[in-house]
Amino acid sequence: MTDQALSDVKVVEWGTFISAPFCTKLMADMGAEVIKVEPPSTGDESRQHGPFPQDIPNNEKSGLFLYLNTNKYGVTLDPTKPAGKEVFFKLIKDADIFVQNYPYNVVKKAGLDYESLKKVNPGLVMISLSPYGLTGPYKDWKAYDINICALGGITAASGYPEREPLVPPQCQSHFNSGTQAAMVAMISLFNRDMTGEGIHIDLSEAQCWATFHIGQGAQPFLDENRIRTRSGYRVQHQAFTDAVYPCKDGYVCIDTPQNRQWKKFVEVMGNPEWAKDPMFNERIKIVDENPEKAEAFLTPWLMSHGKEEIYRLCQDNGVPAAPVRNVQDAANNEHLKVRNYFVDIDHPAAGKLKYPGVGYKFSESPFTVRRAAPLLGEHNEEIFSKKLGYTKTALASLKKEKVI
Amino acid sequence: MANKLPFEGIRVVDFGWVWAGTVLGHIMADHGAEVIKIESRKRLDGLRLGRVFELGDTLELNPAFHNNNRSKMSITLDWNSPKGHELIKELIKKADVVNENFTVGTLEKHGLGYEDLKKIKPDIIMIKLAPTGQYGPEANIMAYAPLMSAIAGIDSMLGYKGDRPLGFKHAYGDVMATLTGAFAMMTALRYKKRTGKGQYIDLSECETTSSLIGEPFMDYFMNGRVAGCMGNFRPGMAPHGNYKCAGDDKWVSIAVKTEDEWKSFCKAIGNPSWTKETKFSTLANRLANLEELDKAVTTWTINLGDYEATEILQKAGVAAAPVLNIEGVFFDPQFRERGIFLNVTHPIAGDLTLYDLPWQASGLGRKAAGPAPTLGENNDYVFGDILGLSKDEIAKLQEEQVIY
Repeated sequence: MTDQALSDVKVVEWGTFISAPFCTKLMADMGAEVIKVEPPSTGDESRQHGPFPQDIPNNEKSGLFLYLNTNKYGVTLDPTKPAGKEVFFKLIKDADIFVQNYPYNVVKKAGLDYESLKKVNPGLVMISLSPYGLTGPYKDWKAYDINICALGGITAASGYPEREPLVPPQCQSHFNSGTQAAMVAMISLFNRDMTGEGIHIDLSEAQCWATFHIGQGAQPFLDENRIRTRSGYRVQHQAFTDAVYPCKDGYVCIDTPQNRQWKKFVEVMGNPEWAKDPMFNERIKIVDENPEKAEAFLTPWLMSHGKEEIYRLCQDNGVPAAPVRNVQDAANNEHLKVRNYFVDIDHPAAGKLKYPGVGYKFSESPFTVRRAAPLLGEHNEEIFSKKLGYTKTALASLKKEKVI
Repeated sequence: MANKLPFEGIRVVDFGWVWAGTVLGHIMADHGAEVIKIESRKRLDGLRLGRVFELGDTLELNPAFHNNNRSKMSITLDWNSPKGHELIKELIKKADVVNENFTVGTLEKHGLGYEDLKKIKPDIIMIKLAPTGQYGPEANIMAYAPLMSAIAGIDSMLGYKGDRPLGFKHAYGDVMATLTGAFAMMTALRYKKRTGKGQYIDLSECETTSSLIGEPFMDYFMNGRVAGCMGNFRPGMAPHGNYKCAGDDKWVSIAVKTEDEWKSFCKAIGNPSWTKETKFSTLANRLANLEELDKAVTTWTINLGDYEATEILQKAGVAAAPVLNIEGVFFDPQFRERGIFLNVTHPIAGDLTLYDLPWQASGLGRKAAGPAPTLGENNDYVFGDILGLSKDEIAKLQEEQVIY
């Protein structure tokens, strides 16, 4: 077995849907032993989410679940029942990190809050993900991705000024918070290794937007009352051009903040007469004053070139431009093939499929696929019997009580 | 042990600039690492200047620079010069981590690639962030954040349902790459602690962004389906959207998934007659008549403030939240209570409001944040105390514009 960066780290996840599972996926992919605890019979919510092969629902074949849970062990266990709690405590006793994203009042009521778990394992790092945090007036508010994005400030400036603001696609609040949770879990682990003391992290998903993504806007707001508002496919207060445009076979994104980049872009387009229009001497004013006129000049050239062609022509000449690729374009992209970004994983129920990999390559302790996402309760015997020492009879009785 | 910080004793040589290269350094610095930002008047961090690169006396004023470089040290060293080259190598010999996000091949060209550094410091960790990574047919592209989300696939899904892509109007690719990079770097540090081995990390910012949209990739690999723009529509949820409220550009996000939530929603808004119509009676009917549903919901929200609508719905157990811009985020009671901003004072820029970290932690050591360093603020400490140069030697190097 390859020695990976986190091969000695033991993680227990009692999580559902995306945020906590994505957090532990990042750790599992770096070699951590992640034991995922799922509710008996139903399992993680993402098992019902899909996409499913041929659109036929099957809780062993949900694409979202498969993607998020590769490299993990899976057990079924209801830690909110007394008998389940006892088993759960044995898992916690042996863990370095515990990640959970159930509502904290449920967690607390079941006696699985940090204060209780600290007694079981004084050196435990516990990461609690919640929409708005475990304190404050909104701690019990209900939320889906769209609400977290709204409060966190990432939605307001997306869309056309005259239409409704747009939530980012694909539950980004949960992927964002899962990433930040994995990062603070590592920081905490260093701290724990140093002091031996446990740590509880109360991570607010809305805050994950409001800080790293939005928070640097606070000072410009206080100084100049500068507030970003919706500007469609354009970006306000930036030199022309910083926008997504249609071209012959799709869309391209062109971003030329520097004068030399703009001049090169004009060259790439064959030095058209219109580029001598005085408006291009003050490109910073164009977006706020007369973007339609400037864009109309670009259109004929854009519409006679394909997105990959524009990408190549521009990049070869030092002009920052890129194709707007959809998942099909990316899945068949030569560059990603050369970098082995997508990986083949054979899953007992879903079969052999390609999956997105990770965005970083380590020279010494690389990402590897050690196992496909677990079937529901796949590792019950391995974990409960072999690891925790429960007998077959004991397991049978737990099963009967619907604890596992 | 209470005052020990998780990254105490770890030294980072930080070549990072602008966005993606810089944030991971401040996270390390926030937790006790000695992060030395390598700058030079001959190669200034563009973020000191603002987005349009004009030299001026504003090197200390850009709020974004202070957010991304807080708590770091700064030295001015022309590492292209022969003497500067020797000095940077001496410093790297005494460091644990080197991070950079220059154009691919820049450090290699100057004899500071991983292979060079390994010779002088065998256990060095080097993390390189680049738009499309360090190798592959597209590795040499020039890209800002808007281009990364275009290439990664996420832009193709950000737009109104069935409409053209608008693109992600935030530095999403940059922020997610730097947070993922921080996680990756920390796992490498832990691996080094356990095995004594350093390593090289090649991070592709487009790939880290693609890893945040696993679900549509899985759908493509399973069913050949290519996801497009979905706006605020989500399968299985209705109503689901951002709805117009009373007031200038005020909106409330509302999400209803289960039948129970629908019933609570109807009751909370006073059971108006439209809620009893057959076309809205089931989820399937609501999804089939979505446009009408959204109009009907707006007849309720349009007379209420964004917070007012939110509170009515949350009291009934329905997920809702106001759509906030930076002003809203700044004054929101939940964010106020949890304290998502911090105040620092900078000798030139004065009082600054920076974003704080998005979690509350019990047991985790944290350094009191300071502003970003002034250009070359720590020259004496780094060249004198760490590298052992005398005051005269430092003065001479300054005269020769090596320390410059």
